[in-house]
Amino acid sequence: MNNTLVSDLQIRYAIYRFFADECRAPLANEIAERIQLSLDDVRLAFRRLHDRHMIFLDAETGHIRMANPFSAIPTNYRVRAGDKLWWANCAWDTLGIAAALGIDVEIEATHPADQQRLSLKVVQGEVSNQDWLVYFPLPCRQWYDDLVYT
Amino acid sequence: MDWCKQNRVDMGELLNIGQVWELSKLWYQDRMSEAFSGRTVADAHRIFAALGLNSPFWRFE
Repeated sequence: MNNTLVSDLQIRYAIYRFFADECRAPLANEIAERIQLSLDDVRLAFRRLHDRHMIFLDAETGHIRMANPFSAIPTNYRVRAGDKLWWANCAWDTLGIAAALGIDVEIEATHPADQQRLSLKVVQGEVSNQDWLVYFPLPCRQWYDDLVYT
Repeated sequence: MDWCKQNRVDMGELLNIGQVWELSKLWYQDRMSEAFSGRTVADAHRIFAALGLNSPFWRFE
């Protein structure tokens, strides 16, 4: 691996570690401080990671919008573990947070069609309410056309 | 599905929570690893196939 790729992967890991620990997205300067790189280098790495679909940047601000399964902004999908609360990008990503962190979680979601509140749990590797259905609106080949909609 | 008609979108796919949990584990279990370096299209297709998701809906190309 070349040095750019190595540092990009270090930055990717730092982003995910920050999300997991702080329950929010890091700003570029916070990653620069953590891993002792220049702000410009981190911003360029953010862009390369975005281009590789490893994170998703807000088109207007350039800030991290998603590092799937984590969302940088509040959504209809909340994942709790103890005193920590993360936002997920979609129903799949609520379980994605439990799987990525390998922890028990309580999930609260608001159904997009009728605003019904739904709750489920992951406990010791088992998920509750296994017969509930999750809707995937778009085929894979369209996922990255508009990731927020997806 | 009524929701699709109301929002004028094509019908997608439905998975139950048990299936989504299995998909989540395969898709995200290595995401917090420092060594994670992304996933190829072939990797993604292998994950879908492991869960029996073999239709064109689950293809990136």
